[in-house]
Amino acid sequence: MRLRILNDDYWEIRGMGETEVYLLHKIPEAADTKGSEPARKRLYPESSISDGGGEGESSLSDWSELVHPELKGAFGAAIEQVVADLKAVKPSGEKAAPGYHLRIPSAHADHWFSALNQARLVLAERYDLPMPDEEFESERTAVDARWLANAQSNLYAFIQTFLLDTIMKLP
Amino acid sequence: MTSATEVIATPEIDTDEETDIDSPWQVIVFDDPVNLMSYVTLVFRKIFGYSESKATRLMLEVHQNGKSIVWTGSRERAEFYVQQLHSHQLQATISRVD
Repeated sequence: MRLRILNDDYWEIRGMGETEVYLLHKIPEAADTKGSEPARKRLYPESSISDGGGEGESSLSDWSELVHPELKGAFGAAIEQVVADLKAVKPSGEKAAPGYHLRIPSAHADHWFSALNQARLVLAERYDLPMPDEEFESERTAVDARWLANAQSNLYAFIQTFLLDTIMKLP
Repeated sequence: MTSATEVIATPEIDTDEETDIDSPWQVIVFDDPVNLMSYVTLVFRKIFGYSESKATRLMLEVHQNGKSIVWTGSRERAEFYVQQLHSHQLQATISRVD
């Protein structure tokens, strides 16, 4: 799989195998916090304000009421954009560059980064994934969900790193 | 009617309340195993307008110490910044300065 900037308006993922296409289509499912309270709390933190007094307690409920709907809207919009973009995955049709490719507007980079990050945060909570510099220990069988989740998270981080180094870079 | 020579009682001032208003608040960002270091630096630059060197120093504080105070000031502004940090999926809270 290769990532590259096509021009000022588009970036592209080329040479994807079936597994990589499958894992990209898994982004919405991976980012879904359903069934994992730690994952929900990670994306929508409740302990946002602490002042050690009663005032802080009341602020916490305000925070959930006012901020969480905004976060849900923004995070949902990012996932929806990625799902829409993924409809354009096509076989390359080139002998020199087999596999599948996807052309994505550069303007969608923030949405892609957010969706990939949501997925990685939820996967990390759901499967207790290790820190990047920690050794990964797993049963590593064909059906080991934790091993697959770690591979999935690493693929998403690879794309995120590309976006940070190229499109999202500040001057 | 009050004559010019009458003494007017001084109103009581709740000094604790004044202290509450005046106390600064700090924005604290916590380390997590997922967010990429270069992303955290980028978010600090975007939200606070910090230079790359300051944003990098704060990111390293978060990474090495587990947390860092990234901004101090009014409560209203601190809440706004925490909201922004949460929208970028960073772990952050505000706390009143002791």
